[in-house]
Amino acid sequence: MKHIKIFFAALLALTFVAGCRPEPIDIDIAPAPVKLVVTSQVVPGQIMVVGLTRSFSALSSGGNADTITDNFLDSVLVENAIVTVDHPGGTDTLYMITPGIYASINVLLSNYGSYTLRAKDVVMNLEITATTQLMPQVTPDSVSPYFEYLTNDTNLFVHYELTDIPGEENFYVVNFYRNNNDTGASLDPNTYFAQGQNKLTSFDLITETDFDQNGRLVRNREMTDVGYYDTIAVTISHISKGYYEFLTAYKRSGSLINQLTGEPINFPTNVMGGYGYFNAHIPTVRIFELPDYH
Amino acid sequence: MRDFLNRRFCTFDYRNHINTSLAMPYRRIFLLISTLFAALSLSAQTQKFTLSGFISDSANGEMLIGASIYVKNTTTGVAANVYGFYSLTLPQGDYVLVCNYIGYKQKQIPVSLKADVTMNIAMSNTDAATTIKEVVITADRNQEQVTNTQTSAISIPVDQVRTLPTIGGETDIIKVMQLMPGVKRGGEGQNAMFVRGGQGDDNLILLDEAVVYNVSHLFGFFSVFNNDALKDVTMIKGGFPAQYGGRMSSVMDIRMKDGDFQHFRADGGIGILSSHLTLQGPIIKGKSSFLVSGRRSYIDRVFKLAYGGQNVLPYYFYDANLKLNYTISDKDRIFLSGYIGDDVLNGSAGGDSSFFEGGFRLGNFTSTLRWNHTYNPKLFSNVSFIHTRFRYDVEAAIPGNSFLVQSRISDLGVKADYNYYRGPGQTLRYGASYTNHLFRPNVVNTSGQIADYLQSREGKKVYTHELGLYANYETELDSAWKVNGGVRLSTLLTTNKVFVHPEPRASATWLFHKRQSLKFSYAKMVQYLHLVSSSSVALPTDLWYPVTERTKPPIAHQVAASYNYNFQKLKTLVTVEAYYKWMRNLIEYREGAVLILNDNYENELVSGKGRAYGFEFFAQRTEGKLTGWIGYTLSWSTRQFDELNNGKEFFAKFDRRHDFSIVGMWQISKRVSFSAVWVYSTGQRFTPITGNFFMPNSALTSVDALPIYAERNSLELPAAHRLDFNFVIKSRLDRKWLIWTGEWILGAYNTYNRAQPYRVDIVASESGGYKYQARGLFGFIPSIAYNFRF
Repeated sequence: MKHIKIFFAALLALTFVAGCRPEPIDIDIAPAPVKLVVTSQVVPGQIMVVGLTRSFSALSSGGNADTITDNFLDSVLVENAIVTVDHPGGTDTLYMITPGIYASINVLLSNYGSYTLRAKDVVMNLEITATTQLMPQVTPDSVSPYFEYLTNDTNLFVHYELTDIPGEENFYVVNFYRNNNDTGASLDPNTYFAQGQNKLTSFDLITETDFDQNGRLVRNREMTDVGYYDTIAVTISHISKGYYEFLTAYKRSGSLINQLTGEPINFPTNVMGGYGYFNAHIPTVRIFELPDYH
Repeated sequence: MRDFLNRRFCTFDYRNHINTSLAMPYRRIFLLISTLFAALSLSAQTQKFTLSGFISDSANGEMLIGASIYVKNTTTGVAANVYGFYSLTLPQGDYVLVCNYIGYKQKQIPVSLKADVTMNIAMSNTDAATTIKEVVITADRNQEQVTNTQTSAISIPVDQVRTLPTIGGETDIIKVMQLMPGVKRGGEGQNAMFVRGGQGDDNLILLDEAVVYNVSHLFGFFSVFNNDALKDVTMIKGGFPAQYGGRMSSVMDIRMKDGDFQHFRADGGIGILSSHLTLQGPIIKGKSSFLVSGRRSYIDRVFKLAYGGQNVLPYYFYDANLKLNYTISDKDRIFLSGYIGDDVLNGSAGGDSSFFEGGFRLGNFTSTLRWNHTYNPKLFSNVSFIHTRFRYDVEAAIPGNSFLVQSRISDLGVKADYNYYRGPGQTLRYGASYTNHLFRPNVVNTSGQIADYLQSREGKKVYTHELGLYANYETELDSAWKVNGGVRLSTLLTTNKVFVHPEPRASATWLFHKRQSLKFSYAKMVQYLHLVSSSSVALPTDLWYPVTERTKPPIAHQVAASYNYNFQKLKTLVTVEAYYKWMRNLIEYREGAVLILNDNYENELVSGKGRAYGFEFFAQRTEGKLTGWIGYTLSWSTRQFDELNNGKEFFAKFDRRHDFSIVGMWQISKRVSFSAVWVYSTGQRFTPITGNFFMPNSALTSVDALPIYAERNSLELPAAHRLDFNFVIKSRLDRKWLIWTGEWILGAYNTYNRAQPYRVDIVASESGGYKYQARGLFGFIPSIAYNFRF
C-alpha cells in the first residue's frame, strides 16, 4: 500500500507541480466609441423626465462596480446638454434638474402622441435623436396580495388580473416593489431617480400570447425577499413593442446562465446615435401595507 | 516460391462457384441498374469470372479494412470493404495479383482464373518476426487514394498514431483528427470538432455503426474511444457516399477490433490519468474470437490518497468495449459489439454529517449485432441491429430536500447494406436504414420544500422515425475516368410533420497521369436533430432535440475538387483540395437564451444560413522510419441570421483563417521512437465587451451597467501554437523467453509553455487602469505512461 501511495503521489507531483500555468497574453481591443445614453420616464404628475449619460470603455472600471469613483460618475453624467422634445403641442426645452437629469412640465402628454427627443452634449459634441409614442395608462381589473401559509414557511403572492386593450398588439410591464429597508419606512414609487428608496423584486413582461382568447390575464406572482410587515407596490404599464424588447434583453442579461456563459446580448434601442431607450408610458400604481393582509 | 508464399501467408480457399440465382426482388433491381449503366461500361464482353474472399492479418485474423488487391501492372483492382471482403471480376486468364495494406508486406499472388474463385488472403504485418526473406516489391499503398473516387477522406492508421503526444499521455483519436486539414478544434484540449465550417453537432460519429452522441469524457477533454479497442478510423468531410446520412459536416466511421482469432493476448497501460486493459483471444480457434477492453480514470483516487482520504475530487470516468464474433460458415459471420461509458461526479460536503450530496452521471451505451452474408462472389451484405443511448442524470440532496434531473436520447435501428461487385471498377452499393429515436429531456423528480420551486415533471416524450434508402454506383468510364453517382432518400416522421429529402451524391476521378489525379464531388446532406447547448463547452446539460415543425432540418450542399499526387519515391501522398459549402436552416440561439430545463426551447432558437469555403493541403508519409504528415487549412466560415448581429453576416465562432500542423513519427531504433506535433492556428473568434452604459431597471429603482459588445465574433484571440513530443522506449527485444513486452512513453504537452488563448479577462495594468488579457488553460504538462502486452 505504501508503494502505491508513493507511486500516486509521484504521479500527482509530476502532473500538477511540474505543470506550468502559461503567461497570459496582453491584447489590444478598440473601445466602443463614447455615445449618449438615454433613459426616460413620464411621472404620473405629468412631467417628462429624461436621463442623459455617456457610455464608457469597458476598461474604465475593470468591470468591477467597487472601483467606480465619484469622479468617474461625474464624467458619465451629462451636464448642460441641449435637450428638446417635439410633442403634439410643439417643441419644448428640458432643463437640467441635476447633472444627467432633464425635465419639463410643459410637454403636452397625449395618448399615442409622437415624441421626438433631441439632445446635444456640447462638451463632447455628441448628438442623439429618438422618437417614441406615449402609451396610454391602463387600469388592472384587480391587484391584491395574499399570503400562503405552509407548515414551515409563509409565501407572499400578488394576484392580478388584466384585460388586454382590444384591436392591436399590446405589451405590458408589471413591476413588483418593496421598501428597501426594514424600518417600516413608507414606499414611494414616485421617487424614480432616488435610488435606494425602493427595491424592484421582480417584473413580468406581458404580450399578446399571455392573454386568453377573451383577452384576459389572471396571474399569481410570488414575491420573494419581502418582510412580513413590509410595504409593497405594484405598477402596471402599457409599453411600446420596442421597449418591451429592450426589457426582454435586459431580463435575459441578468440571468445566471447568461452571466456564466457570457454569450453576447445586444440591447435594442430607438436612440439614433446612442444607447438606451426613449420610452413614454404612464404607470398605474397600487401600494399595499402587508399587515393589512395578514 | 509461390507455393511457399501460399502456405506461409495465404489461406487459399479455392472453391468453384456457379453463379447462383439471386433472390427474385434483388435480381430485378440488379437488372434495372445494370441496364442503366450498361452504356457507361466499356468492359469487354468476354467470359469473366470472379475472385472473392476476405483479406485479413495472418497473425491474428483481423480483417483489413481498405486493403487493396490489384492486377499487377494495371489499375484494375478493388479495395476490401469495411468487413475485409473483396470481389474482383476479371476475364478468364492468368494473373498476378498484388495485395497492399498500410504497415503490411506487399503480397503477390499468381492466380489462374478459369472459374469463380473464393480466396481468403492473409497478410503479414511488417512488425511480425520472420526469418525468411521474402520477395517484397516496393509497395505503393497511396495509389489507391489517388485512383478511387472518394474525396475529402482521411483514414487514420490507429496503431501508428497511438504514440502521438497528447494531454496527460492519453491517446485520443479525436485529437489526432483535429490535426487534419479541414478539422478545427474547439477550445484548448476540447474534443469538439468543427469540420469545414460546420458546428460541433454536425458530425456523424459511428462506433461499429452505432451513433455515439457524446464523444467526450471530463467535459470534453478526453474522447470516449479507447484506442486499444479500435481498428480503423475514417473521416469523410465531403463527397459523402450515399450510405451515410443524418449529419451535415462529416462522418467519422470508427471500427472496433474483432479480437485475435489465433492467440490469447493482453494489452494494457498505466498513465497519469487512467489505466486501461484489453483482453482478446479465440473462443474457437480460427472461428470465433472475443475482445474486452476497459479503462478507468483515477484522478479521484489520486486526490484521495494525497489528501489523507478526503474525497476532494470525487470525479472519474470509465468505459468498456466488448466484441464477439463467430464465423458460422464461409458465407456467414455474426458480430456483437458494445460500448458503455460514463462520467461520474458524486460528491458530498459537510464531512460525516454530510449536509449536501450530489453529482451527475452521463454517458453512452451502444450495442450492435451484425450479420455478414455472402450471397455469391459478387454480392455481399451486412444487416445490423443497433441500439444506442445517451443519458445524463444530475442529482443533489440536502437533508429533507432532493432533486434529480434526467434526460435521455435512445435509438433503436436496423440497417441493411448490400455491395454488388459487377465487374472491375463497377460496384453497386445499396440499402436501407431505419431508426426510431426517443427523446426524453428534462425529467424532474423533487422532494421536500424544493418541490415548491422546482416541480416534478415527466418531461416531453418525443418519438421520431428516420428512414433512409440509398443506392450508389461506381464505374470506370475508361482507363482515366471513374465516376460515382448515388442518391439517398431520407425521411423523418415527427409530430405533425413529415420531412422528405432526396440527397444526391456524385464524385468523379480523372487519372490524367499514372500517379496524379483530379477529383470532383458534390453532396447534399440533411440533418434531423441538433444539440441544444448553452455554451461551447461540453456540459451535462447539453441536450439533443429533433427537428420539428418549427425548426426545419439544416441542409448543406458541398462541392469539392482535389488534386492528388502519389510521390512514389518519397512514399508520400500529397492532396490539395478546395471546397465550397452552402448551408441553410442553420440554428443558433437567441441572444441571452436560457436553455436549461426549458421545454419550450424552440422559442429560443433562430434560423439562418451560412457558407464555408477553403483550401486544404495534406502531405502524408505512411512508410519508412520517418512517417507523419503536414496539414494546412485556409478557410472561411460565415453565418447570417436576421435576428442576430442586426441581420449582418458574421463569422462563425470557430472560423479560423489558418490552421497548420506538422506531425512526425521517427523510428530511431527498434526500441526507441520519437514523435512530435507542432500546431498553429489563428485565434478563436470572440465577441468582447468593449464598453458599458448605465441603465435603470424597468421600475427605475436601481441602475445597472449594461455591456456593449463588438460585432458578433468580429475579433480573434491571439494565435495558438504549441509543440508536443513523446519518446517511446520499448523493453529489450532480445529476451525471447519473456512473454511480457512493455514500453515507456515519456511525453510533454505544450513544451514551450505558450498560452493557448480561450478567454479574455480585464485585469489591472502595471501602469494603472485596466487592460485585456487572453488566458490559456494548460501550460507545459509532462506525462509518463507504461504500456504492456503479453
